[in-house]
Formats: sequence, structure tokens, C-alpha cells
Amino acid sequence: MWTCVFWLMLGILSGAALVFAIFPAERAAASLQQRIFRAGSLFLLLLTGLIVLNSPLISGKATGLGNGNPAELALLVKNVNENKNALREELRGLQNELEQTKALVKNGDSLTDSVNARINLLLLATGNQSIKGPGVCITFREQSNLMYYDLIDLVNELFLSGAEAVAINGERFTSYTSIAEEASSSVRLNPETGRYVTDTAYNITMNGKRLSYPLCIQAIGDAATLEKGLDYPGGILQSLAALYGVSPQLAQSTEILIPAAEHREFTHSVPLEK
Amino acid sequence: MAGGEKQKKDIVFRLLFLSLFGILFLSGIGLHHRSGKEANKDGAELAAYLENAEAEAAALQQEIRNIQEELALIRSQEAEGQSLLSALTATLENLHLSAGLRSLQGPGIIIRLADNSEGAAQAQKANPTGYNPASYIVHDKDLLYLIRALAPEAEAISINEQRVIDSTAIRCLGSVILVNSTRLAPPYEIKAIGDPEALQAALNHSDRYRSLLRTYIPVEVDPAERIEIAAYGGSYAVSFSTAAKND
Repeated sequence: MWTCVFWLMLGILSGAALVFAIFPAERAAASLQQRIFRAGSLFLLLLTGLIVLNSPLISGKATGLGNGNPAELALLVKNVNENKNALREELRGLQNELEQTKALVKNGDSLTDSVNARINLLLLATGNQSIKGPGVCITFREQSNLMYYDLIDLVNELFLSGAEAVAINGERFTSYTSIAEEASSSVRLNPETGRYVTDTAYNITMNGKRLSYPLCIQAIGDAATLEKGLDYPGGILQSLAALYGVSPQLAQSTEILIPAAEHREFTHSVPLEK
Repeated sequence: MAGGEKQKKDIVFRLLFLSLFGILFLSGIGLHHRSGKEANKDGAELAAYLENAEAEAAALQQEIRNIQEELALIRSQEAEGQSLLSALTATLENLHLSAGLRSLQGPGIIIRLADNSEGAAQAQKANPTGYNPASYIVHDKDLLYLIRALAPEAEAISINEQRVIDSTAIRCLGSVILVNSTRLAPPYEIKAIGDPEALQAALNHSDRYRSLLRTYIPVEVDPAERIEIAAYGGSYAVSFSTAAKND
């Protein structure tokens, strides 16, 4: 308010000074005082003009922050405060979302971990992967009267004794493994009688392939338990010795390697829908 | 003299005017300066507040951007994780199938073996000294060898609902037969899923099957279009095996 009155009066006086300067009181040749007066008036006029031009109302510097118009500043403050509130709201929302997402991801991770653990277990247990571990190795050095069902019994005994996996001559035994026999005949001349005779030999086969000697049965598990499971009075090894006079070599091992089994595709079975 | 007085008056008037102008001017400058200062003071406070507020807003915006980036990263990882998880689940399902952990259905054959108590009683009565009770009951080896004969042709085998898996052991304990450490009682029903003809052929090829047919034990074999075989209900405990390099 006072500022306005001041600028109004300064304006009026500046106008008057201008009039005095342009139209002096006497038209006679200007005296020294008149000249000084005129020069002073002009100087003041110029100063006034400069001040007026520099005034905050005119110079438009109010938008600057240092000496800005409080009203405009207040408006800006209001605006920035509103903006800040909106940003805080957004931030809160995002923080919640982040926490929820992290919790979900954590659950997902634990689910993935459990699925992975199960996969690893089943890969080891089902013959889908090569495995190693401690165990025993039973070796039949040469062909004997050992029959294919003795081999089936031996494998059965190993599983009864806690074997986790069994391999015969490096091939993993699975629920699909066939152990059978194959007859092979050969004709020879009997020098004593001078007649030809036919000899028939029975060879043990595994998955249709003849097993060669030395025949090696490996099992992964607790080596001592596996050995005890086979070699006890009345146990399978003693029975084999009594029946055929064969005494396979039984050795414990700290690392037995059993390769993966061949994968079997189902062509007849489908999972039973519950 | 009058001219001199007029000039004096004029000078006095002009001096007064100049003084008034000067006073007003100086006070104006003061006022301007003061009001400018006040305005500056208010403005500076507001400006400082505003600057602070704007800095805060900028910091909030930065934080929002950071969180958005983190969320985007987590979501892309989650998407990868989801596809990984579904791939893993598919792998696991296949493993469950091959591990016998899923009930299956399909064509196959059913073999029924039963102890011949009646025959045993009659035989004992007819010939108490020559009577061999073992000839009238089903043995663990019968089941073991029949299953091994069926194995290459069967996709799944069970004995009295006990699924045969890789490590299934069959043994007798006294008069009972244990399969997967579970006690089974006669009659024994062996179910095998696969091509019924191939399964029958495998059975016919089995020494044990042929010899069973010559005993007093009743053996019945029936092909079936649809057989249900229960999942393995035991555990797969691995304590000694570890993965070896696949090479």
C-alpha cells in the first residue's frame, strides 16, 4: 500500500521535474543556478527512471526466488507440497507392491528349491543319472554252472540288504531289466566213439545280450551291510558254493560307479486320472 | 527589486521543490530498499522452503524410479523363474512317472496265483509220508522269476497293489511274502501293463511259469484291455549315492 503511494508521488514529482526542466521559470538566458537546477532535475529524473525501472513491480523479477512475489511463491509451495504428497502416496503404494512381490518371489524360490531337490533325488534313485558311492563288487571270474535265476536271486538279495542301485557288467539293473538265458549249441566229434555230439551251453543274458566273464555285479549302499547280506551261513554265496562250487570274489569298495539306465518311454500306459 | 524578490522567491521555491523531491526520493529509496528487504526476507524463507520441498520431491521421484526399476527387475526374474519352474515341474512329472510314483492304466495281463490248501489237505490225507507241503503254496521265487520274465515287456507291474520298482525286493519270511517290505497274503495277483500278447509270450517263455503250470498251484492268466496299477507308495531314500559326471 505505502509502496504504491510512494511510487505514485515519485511519478508525479518526476513529471513536475520534467516540466521544470523542459519549461524553466524564465525564458531568459539561463542563469548558472537555472542550469544547475536543470541538470539536477534531469539527473534526478534519470535516477527516478532507473529506480522505477528497477522496481520489483515493473522489472518482473518476482518470479525469481530470492526477491520473488510471496503470493506466487506461496502458490509454488502449495503446488510442490501437493506434488510431494502425491509422490509419497505413489511411493507407499510401490513399496507395498515391492514387499508383496518379494514375498511372492520368495515363495516361488522355495517352491523351485523343493522341486529341484525332488528332481535331484529321483534322478539318483531312478537310474536317470550316473551315480557313484560306496558298495560292493561281486566277481565271477569264469563261466560256471551259475544259472540266470541265481543272478536274479543275487540282485534281489542285494536290494534286500539295502542296495540303492545295482549294475551287472556295468549296466544298471532296473525294473525293466530282463535276466534270462540263451542256449548255444556246438557240434563236435567225439574221438573215443568217432561220432558227432551236440553240446548245449546256457549263457546268462541281460536285456537280450549275453553276459561275458568275468561277471561283475556292483551295488551301491552300505558296503558292510551288503556284504553281510550275501555272505552268511545259509546265505546266497554259501548256497552257490554248495550248489556249483563257485566262490565269487566279494570286495567292498569306497567308490562304485553305476551308469545311467536307458530311458523307457511308455507306449501303453497313461497316468490314471484321479 | 521586485524582479530580485521574484527571483529569490523563485529560487526558494525551486530549493523547496528540490528539497521535497530529494526527501521523497531518499525516503523512496529507503522505502524501496526496506520493502525490498522485507519482501526479500519473506521471499527468501518461502524460496528456501520451496527449494527444500522441491529437493524432497526430487528425492521422492528418485526413490520411486528406484523402486520401479527394482520391481521391473524382480518381475522379469519372476517371469524367468516361472518358466523355469514350469519346466522343472514337467521334468519332475516325468521322473515321477518313471519312478513308479504315478498310478497308471493301460492294457495288459493279470496273473493270479493261489495256495492250494484243499489239494494240500487231500494229498496229506492220501499220502502222509510222501506229502510235500511246499508244492501247494506260492513261493517268493515264483513271484520274483515271473516278474523278471515279464519285466522287458511290461511298462508297469504290481503284486497285490505293490508297485514293482527298480529296487523292489521279494522275500519270504516264514509263511508270508514281503514285497517292498510289505507283507502280502495269497492269492497273489500280478498285474502288468503292456502289450497283452507280448506279455503272454514272455510268460510262456518263462521256465518258472511253465513249471508252475505243472504243479498243484492254480495259475490263471487273463489279458485285459484296461488295467489299473497303483503308484509306488514307499520312499526313495538315497543315502549313499551321489551324482557322477555324465560322460
